[in-house]
Amino acid sequence: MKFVDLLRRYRRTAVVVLVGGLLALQSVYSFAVHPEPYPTIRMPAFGAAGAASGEFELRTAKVAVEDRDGRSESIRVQQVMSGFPFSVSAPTFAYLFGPDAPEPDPATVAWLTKRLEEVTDMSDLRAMRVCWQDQTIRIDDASVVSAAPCTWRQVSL
Amino acid sequence: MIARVESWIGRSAESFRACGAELALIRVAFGVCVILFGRNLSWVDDVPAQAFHAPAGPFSLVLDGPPGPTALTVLHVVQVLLAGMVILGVFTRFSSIALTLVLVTASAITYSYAKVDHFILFEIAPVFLAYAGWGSRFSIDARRRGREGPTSGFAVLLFALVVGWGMLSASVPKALGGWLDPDRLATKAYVARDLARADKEGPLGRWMLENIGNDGLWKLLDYATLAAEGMLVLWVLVPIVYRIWVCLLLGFHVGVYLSMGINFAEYLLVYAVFLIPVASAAIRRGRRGEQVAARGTISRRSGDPSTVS
Repeated sequence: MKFVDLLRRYRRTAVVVLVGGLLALQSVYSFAVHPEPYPTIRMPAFGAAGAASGEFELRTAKVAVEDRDGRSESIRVQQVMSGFPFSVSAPTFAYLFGPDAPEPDPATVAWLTKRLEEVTDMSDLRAMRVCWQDQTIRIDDASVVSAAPCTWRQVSL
Repeated sequence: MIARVESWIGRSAESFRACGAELALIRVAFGVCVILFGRNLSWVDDVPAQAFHAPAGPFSLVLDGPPGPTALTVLHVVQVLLAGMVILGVFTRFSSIALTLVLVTASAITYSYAKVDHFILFEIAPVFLAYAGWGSRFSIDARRRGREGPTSGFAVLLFALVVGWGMLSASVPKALGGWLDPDRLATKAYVARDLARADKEGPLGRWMLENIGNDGLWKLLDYATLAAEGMLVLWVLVPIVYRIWVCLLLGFHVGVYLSMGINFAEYLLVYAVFLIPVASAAIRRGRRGEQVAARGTISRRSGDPSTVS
């Protein structure tokens, strides 16, 4: 039987094999490229399980806003980033103001200043300081077991 | 051998086939969901452009910065128009495919802000369901044709394969990341992480951490997650088991929402095509049973033994 006739006769099998093959290929691409590409057929993997010791490592950000009179107020990342959809807000904060992020451009600084004034009711702001800290928590009760020194990031406003 | 596989696929496809009315229900629900809860990208204009960097893939070739407010408004209007066309069943196949393209584009813009989310199965559902025949009945297309259109179980089978593969893609990294290790707890760790960060908690996250002290139960949740996600694809050619597995997945989604506050409402429409035919068949059987019982009751009251079943 000719190949075309075979395909016609067993077309559903051929289509299933083809779709399966395409799914496999795009998965290879999806996992090989970092950060994750889009669009691909992929669902959230979370990350690694906690350690056998019952501890888990995470990175936190503590934000402090200072004005030119020396006053300081602590706020949460979500308060700064509430204009973004929740799922991208924390990753975007890290992208813009993380320890290794490039200097924010003037438009970003202007946006940040306005945002912080809205959140804190402070004016004449001097700087936003972010303490990026690697912590180890006990997964039994989410208590902090150890915390590395802050990696500070300061944005002048 | 191939003939047997072809026959098996054919039987599975027939089992996955939904009727026009069931598909129409999903079509209308999907369109309404997009109109009421679809992405609104107006926030893009209010946030720093420096935060924008398109994810790797085709959109990185066309999006070198955030789209302007006019483009975002046009995209939103087109999204609503196409959803309306899908609801009414107007040029259903075209409008469904176009709606998928718009949903994926809107997501690509959102995911250009540092994180790719995972609603792709919802976004591509219209393409598969269009070929499954969700425009075949209760649609302007059917009215124009003057008759109900055909439905396809094979399109639903292919969607089942894609959904199963998507779930597998979540399970394999988990398995490689220690979720299989009986000494390492994963679900508990992520619930604890959310509480430690104090960003977002599930309605029962804190209660679970404070009251479920048995690590065996937590480990069971890890294994249940791996099984629910990882094994779905195995049952694509066994529709009855696939459907049972989808119910397990729904339980998994409920658990993830309660423990971590992760919303899964869109997935109800992804899974609907696998479950609604079963639900409606059960309802029809129930109604037939009631009718038979009622006929039997009437016969007993009239004293006619020949009609009592």
